[in-house]
Amino acid sequence: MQKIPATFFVNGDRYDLMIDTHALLLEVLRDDLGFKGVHESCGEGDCGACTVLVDGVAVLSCLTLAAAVRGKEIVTIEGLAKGSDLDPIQNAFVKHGAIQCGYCTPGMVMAAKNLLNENPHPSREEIKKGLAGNLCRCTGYNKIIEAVSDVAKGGK
Amino acid sequence: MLFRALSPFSYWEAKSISEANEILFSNGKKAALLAGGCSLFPQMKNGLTKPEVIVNITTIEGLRFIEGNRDEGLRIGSLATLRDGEKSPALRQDYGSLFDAITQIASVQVKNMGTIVGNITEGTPASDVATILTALGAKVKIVGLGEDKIVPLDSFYVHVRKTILEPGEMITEILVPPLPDGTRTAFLNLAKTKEDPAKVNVGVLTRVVDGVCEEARIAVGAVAPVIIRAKKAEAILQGEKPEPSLIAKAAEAARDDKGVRPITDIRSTAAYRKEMVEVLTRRALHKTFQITTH
Amino acid sequence: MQEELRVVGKRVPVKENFDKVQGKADYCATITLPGMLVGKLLHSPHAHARVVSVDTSRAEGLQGVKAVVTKKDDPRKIFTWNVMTYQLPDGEPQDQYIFDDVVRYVGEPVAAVAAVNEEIAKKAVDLIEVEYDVLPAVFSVEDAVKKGAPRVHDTAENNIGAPPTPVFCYGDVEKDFSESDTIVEGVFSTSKQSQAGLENAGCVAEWRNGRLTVWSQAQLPHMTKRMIAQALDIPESTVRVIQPFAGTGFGAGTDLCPEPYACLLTMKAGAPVKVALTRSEDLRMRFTREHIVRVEMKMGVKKDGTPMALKAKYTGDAGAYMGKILSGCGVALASNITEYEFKSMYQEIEAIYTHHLACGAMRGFGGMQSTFAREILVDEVCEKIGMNPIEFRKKYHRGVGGLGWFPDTKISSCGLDACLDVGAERIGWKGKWQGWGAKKEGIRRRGVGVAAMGWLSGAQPMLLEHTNATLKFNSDGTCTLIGSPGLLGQGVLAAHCQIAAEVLGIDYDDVRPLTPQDTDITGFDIGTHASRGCYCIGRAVEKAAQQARELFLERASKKLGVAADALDIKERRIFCKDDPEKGIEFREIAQDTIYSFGKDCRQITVNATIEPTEFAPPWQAGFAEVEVDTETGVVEVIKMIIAHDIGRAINPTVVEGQLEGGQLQGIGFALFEDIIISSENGVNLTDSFNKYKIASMLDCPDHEALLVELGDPTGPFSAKSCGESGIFLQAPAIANAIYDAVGIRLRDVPMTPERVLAALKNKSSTQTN
Repeated sequence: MQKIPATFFVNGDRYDLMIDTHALLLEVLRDDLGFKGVHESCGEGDCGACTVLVDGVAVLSCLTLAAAVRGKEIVTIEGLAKGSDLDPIQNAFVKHGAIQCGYCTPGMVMAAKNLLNENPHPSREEIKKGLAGNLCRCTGYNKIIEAVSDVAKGGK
Repeated sequence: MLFRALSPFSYWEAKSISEANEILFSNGKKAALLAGGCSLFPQMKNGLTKPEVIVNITTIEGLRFIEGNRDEGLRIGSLATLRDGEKSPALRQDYGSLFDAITQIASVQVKNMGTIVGNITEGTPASDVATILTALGAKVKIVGLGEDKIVPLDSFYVHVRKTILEPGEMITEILVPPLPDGTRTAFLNLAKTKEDPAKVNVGVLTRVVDGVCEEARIAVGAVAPVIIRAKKAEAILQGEKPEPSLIAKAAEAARDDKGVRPITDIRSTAAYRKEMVEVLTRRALHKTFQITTH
Repeated sequence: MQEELRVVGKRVPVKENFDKVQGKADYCATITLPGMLVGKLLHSPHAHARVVSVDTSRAEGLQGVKAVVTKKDDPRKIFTWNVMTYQLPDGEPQDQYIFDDVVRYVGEPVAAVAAVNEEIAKKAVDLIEVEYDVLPAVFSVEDAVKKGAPRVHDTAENNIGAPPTPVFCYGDVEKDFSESDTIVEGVFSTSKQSQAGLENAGCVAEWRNGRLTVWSQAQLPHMTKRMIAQALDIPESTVRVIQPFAGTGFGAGTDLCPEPYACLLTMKAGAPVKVALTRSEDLRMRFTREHIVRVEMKMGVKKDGTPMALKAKYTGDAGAYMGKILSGCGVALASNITEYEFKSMYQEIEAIYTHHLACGAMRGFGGMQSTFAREILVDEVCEKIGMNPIEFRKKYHRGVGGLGWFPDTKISSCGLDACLDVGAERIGWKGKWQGWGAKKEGIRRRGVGVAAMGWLSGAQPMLLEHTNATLKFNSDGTCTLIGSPGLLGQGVLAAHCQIAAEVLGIDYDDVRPLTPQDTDITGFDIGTHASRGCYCIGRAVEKAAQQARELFLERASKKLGVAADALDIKERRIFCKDDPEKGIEFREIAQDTIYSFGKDCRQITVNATIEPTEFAPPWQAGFAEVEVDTETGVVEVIKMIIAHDIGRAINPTVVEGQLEGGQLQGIGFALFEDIIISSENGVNLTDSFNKYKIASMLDCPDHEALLVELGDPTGPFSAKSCGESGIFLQAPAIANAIYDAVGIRLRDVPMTPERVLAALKNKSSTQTN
């Protein structure tokens, strides 16, 4: 087994650690660094539950080698709130009932963040396209689409 | 640490193509190349492949590009992601059917991570991107320790998940030919859900000059171990006026092409797939000819 | 209906969602305990084999391995993963061991390992040597009952788990068929759907100081506790089940899955063990939807539509164990009674063992299958007698006082007429339905279809639905709501807090639900199944709140010198009804109960028990508009509407969410979800989200859930259920819409393009012949 030194900037903080070269980003974030909001489900890129932002872009942490993203800026669900103030997307998800079991929620919110970063005022179709990589079994998606539309209308 | 989905391997970050070639060559079949990871890691998790050496090529400069236009042709570097393709104005405006094949891939994350080259190198005959690129007459540039090779995509695949790539070799770019005046292309597929690999897909390129079809390329995916060209159907159109009855004949010829030997699996049945080759080919041809003849 | 409600009926946010949206909520998947080990299972590659020997010596010799368990470690107590068995006095059949001498489906665990990390655990699993005596297997109910077919269980001759058994029959069907003017019948098949919650099956177990704590995704924590104790042959009080949030549900948590293995491992290793299945293991091992593989149904009506006789038989493919197949078939049968006023009914159920994974339960339990068959046949009947399918449903559904699911039960309310009206209006039925036999042309043709059903709010009086709810008050006038519904994300805790706050005259924020839930703390409750959370548990909450209210008023009455019944509570203030100026803050009374200094300290903690007897059916109408591509067989849902008779929506956002979620699962069931098991070797070929498809946002058509609020005399604030109801009507309404569009009757779910195209061809060949 090979270990290498790694630095990650997670949610704005610097972390220096030794990682296994075969560790996935999901495993390092969840198990080594304790960001338990990074959820694993399918493990194969079909569900989006493990979505985080790497250098501002939404990726699947279950298919990302931690070693390959050393030195990068990573944002997890834990990095969205500013102190006790939730991100507008988070507030909208709660307000619109876009959450049920909540297991897909962190990945869904991060995908929404990615979408709104790229396109602050998406249409309904653009929202569906932007979040199509994130499966939710509970909600039937309507309320998620409403929540993201609401944020988009608010201009944030 | 508690959880590790992957088994250990020796990890390398290549700084140049030649460094990658050497590591790949010296480790032979034990080595795997890492770009997006979207196909490599699921395969490793499922035990389909157990590389002992992984070479990360995302550390090589200068491979992430999409350049060109319909007059000069398009060059797609091996680190250009599917999302780069979706965002590329040249690709979107000049190669709309390639854009269609890329943009309908459901997951934004997969498009952010996965490369266009990775998508077509995986060797699945259901690859939408590979099917339309085959129809477009794309070639791949293969760089190994010897001379560089430029190979048409329709000679690149050997079998399901098997290509002509030898140990030590990698694709550095895709070369899509220019589209002369009168050329139209179309891509269509059918899938169980929007996120599922295609049951059948069809890519079509036609060039009409003075009302006559001067060139027709029809690629069909997911109906054989490799993406096939429906050459009989192409021949039917060649040199003819594209009338609906001719198109119907060509579509039937595509369905009956001996290369079309689909299987029944969890996604569809052999009979359905075969029949859909005709429907999709006809619809795609209608699309290309109608637009030109309009 | 009561007026001036301040909390009930409001779209207040679900409290636990604040944690969930920040990634702070705990699931079995996120729980990590100090010294925790990783457990891995060794699965049988064979569908049927005798386990001759299991050699664990090499695995045990591996550095870092802390425990290996096999059948030698199993106390060999017969049990079942189906924890709902305790809801019936005689229980459902029990036919499982943790590890048996024989494996009966591909994926059945043969051994388990706990090690210091996943890599070592996986290596150790690979080092276990199992000698199997591979036996022939059967993969269909048809083959299973043939003479000489391999037996799944020695005790079940011809693999008959339950022979055809008539249940809840009434009247004389043969006579009524002979007096019918029109008779239709059909044989229907449905798929083995997976609950497919996003969190894979998983649990953590810790054996410490003679107690076993299990962090489980259970929907029924108290009965889960009992079943684990039974399987391990330890006293029930030894076991404590903690339910963090579950990232799954829809019935998945009504059966055990990794729990028995994790428990055996921790008891042997003496350290906490997490068993987190992969998605593939989840799909291969987690009991699926009750697989009613075949529904034979026949119905007869008079010329004017008067329902005469209905006959049906439900055949369950039990798989390797009985699980919930009998109750699944039973519910298919019982739920079918309620909808229409047939003069006579004869229905029977049967269950057959095969070497498939056994069945658990999924949302729409049993009723999915009978509704699919019945609502298509009703459509056929309507065509034959030339009746508008909405009119038939309006005219002949049962109403208040009519027969419920079970003998001697009565329907307490029925809002189906209104559901049919608002649904028809929203889909635009009048313009879109052009009557029977309307000519449609073109490659893509549109059609509309309707279906209807009545469901239940808890399975009383058939099943035990005992529920306790506790309210414990703090000195600041707030309280903790202690209940045990299972935390599946139903949002029902919000409804419970709303009910309590409304009764008590305090704010929604003043009532905090206990999470996670812990059987050491919570009173007995059945948990969540059969759409009972709001109705049954809500009634216990309502009762507890009423009791607490009385205690508060009593105390305030002493303080104010006014009779308790002259007092009221609103907006956190207790006041005289006649003289509202005179009063006292609720908070002051609460403070007084706790800091009374030698006078009368008595913290208010009330527990209420409920054993409901009414079942308060919610009703629903579903409308689908589809477009069928006649060349590809692809069915596109243009719009799907369900109108639901909720009684009253305690929290409309939550109710809509439940219905909308069910709706998309119903569309998946109708069109593409399907577990495909090889008929050659019993391997599940759809063991990933890449192969078992659930709808993504792009597969989500325009769909809507409309609420009809006409009340119910029995429910808390006249509420009825919504948890399961969203999922029933998509398949039959879509099937009927497909008929309207292209004139084919489909009898098999999922209605794939392959099936649609085959039916279209069949139709055109019969027409030309």
